[in-house]
Amino acid sequence: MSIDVFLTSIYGALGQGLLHALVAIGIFLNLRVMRKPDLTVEGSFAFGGAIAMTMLAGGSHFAVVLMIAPLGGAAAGMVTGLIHTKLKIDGIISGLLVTMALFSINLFVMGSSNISAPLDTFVNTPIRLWLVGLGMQPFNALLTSYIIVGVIVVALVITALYFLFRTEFGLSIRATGSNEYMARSNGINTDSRKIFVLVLSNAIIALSGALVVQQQSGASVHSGAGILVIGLAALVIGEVITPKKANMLIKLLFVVAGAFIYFSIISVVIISGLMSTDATRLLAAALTLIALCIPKIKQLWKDRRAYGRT
Amino acid sequence: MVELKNISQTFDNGIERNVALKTTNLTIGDGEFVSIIGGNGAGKSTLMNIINGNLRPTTGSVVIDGVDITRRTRHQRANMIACVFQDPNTGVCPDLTVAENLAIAYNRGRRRGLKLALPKKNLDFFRERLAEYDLGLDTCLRRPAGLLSGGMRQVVTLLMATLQKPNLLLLDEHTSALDPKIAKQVMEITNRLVREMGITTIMISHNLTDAITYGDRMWMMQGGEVTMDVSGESKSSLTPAKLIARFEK
Repeated sequence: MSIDVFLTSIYGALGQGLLHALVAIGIFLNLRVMRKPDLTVEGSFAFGGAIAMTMLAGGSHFAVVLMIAPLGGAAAGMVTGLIHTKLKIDGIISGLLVTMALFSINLFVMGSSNISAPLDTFVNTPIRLWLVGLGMQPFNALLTSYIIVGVIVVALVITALYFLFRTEFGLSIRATGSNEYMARSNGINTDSRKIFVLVLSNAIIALSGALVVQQQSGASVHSGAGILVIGLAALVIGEVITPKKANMLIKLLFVVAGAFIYFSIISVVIISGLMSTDATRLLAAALTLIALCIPKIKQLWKDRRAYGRT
Repeated sequence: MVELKNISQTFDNGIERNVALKTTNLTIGDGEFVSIIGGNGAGKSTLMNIINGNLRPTTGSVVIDGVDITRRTRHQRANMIACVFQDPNTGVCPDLTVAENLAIAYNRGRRRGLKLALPKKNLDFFRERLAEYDLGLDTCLRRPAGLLSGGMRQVVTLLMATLQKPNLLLLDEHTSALDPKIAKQVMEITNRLVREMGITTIMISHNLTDAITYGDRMWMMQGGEVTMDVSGESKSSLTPAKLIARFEK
């Protein structure tokens, strides 16, 4: 593999990583802030993508599309939240039910299992044309334009979340995740906080779906499949390298870094021919497992040094 | 004033009926400090759970300062009732800092909006409040509450409960998970807070001496009812030995 190919694949991974980082951030909100896994992810990601591609094909402006697609995800999260809190159904099952239902809804929205729209309607177009105008090669301009889009969107989302978690309302969300009993004792309506986080996280994930289908030049009813593991891989890889004393902002930035590292590894492995594209899900699962094990191995190592070999 | 009108609690799982609390009428005056003693299954915790909203009574109503709160959920009555429980882990969020925990309690029962959760003036106020107790807690504001010892966590929970004066403070064996020395310290702090602020308080205690020493009034509960209600002279003349004799009767 030449160094050029290597650099290009890393560069491409940056764009992919940034756009998928939103999924990891959504999972972070559920798994780390609320301490509850949510399985609506795959449904709302595909839903966001389906809405976006259908609207683009119908001639809507991408700015409108990027505002409507998250609403779809928010609605999906709302339904999961209501099933979970009002009907008292287990959170995992609630998410599974909604994802299952969304599969049909996505088919209904798109009208077929694969759709596409003219490339020049996509969100990156103004930036891409501008870069080409500056004299950049079309392919590099394409990659770079998605990196810029990704940076802008991720920066907006992270900034918004950072400020949200500094408010009284944000603190009440963290309290609900940390100790629900205490939160209720202090007058926090924990059900409403749970629903809010599901709405917020799925809106962010649907936004990711809306952007990713444009980067991949088309939406498929299966575009959500496996996205949960990819997001989880990005999250845990990010957490392995996160410094111990990190505030919410740093944690979120490292989640983004985790997404970049994940896609770098995958694209290098594919391009170098070590594995076929078909094997990437296997690799994703293995990477996630390794990243999950690293803290445990570190602890084991520490314990051994403290007590073991005397 | 706290009024418990005709409250009772029956658990019925379709096979067995278990009367946890017999029909009870009780009234506690403003600023009164009541301690409750009684064995396991006497109905103390049932009573507490009915008052704080974890249980809906089978019959009767709970009225605090003229407001009937029987139909309110746990979080809806948090603006009136503050609680400290036996397990030091229940009262604080372990991975939030002490300051953040206090901030949550500071807004107990209020709407939580988009205002900054920890403005400087609140931090200073929290630091002052913690410094009153010479426990070094004022230097722990930025530490996660989970890193504090059990005793310190209970003190923080107590302060959280009293940052805003509650209409009623419920203490459910809040010192019984602590070692005797710390338990005494926490009990002293409790008494000081309750007296200084004149908070209407109900305290369940397993420690008979505490129940006699602290509080204006004492209830003994047995088999789902209050079998003894003493205050003033007749309370202060009690001894643990006399109480045990009463228990066994």
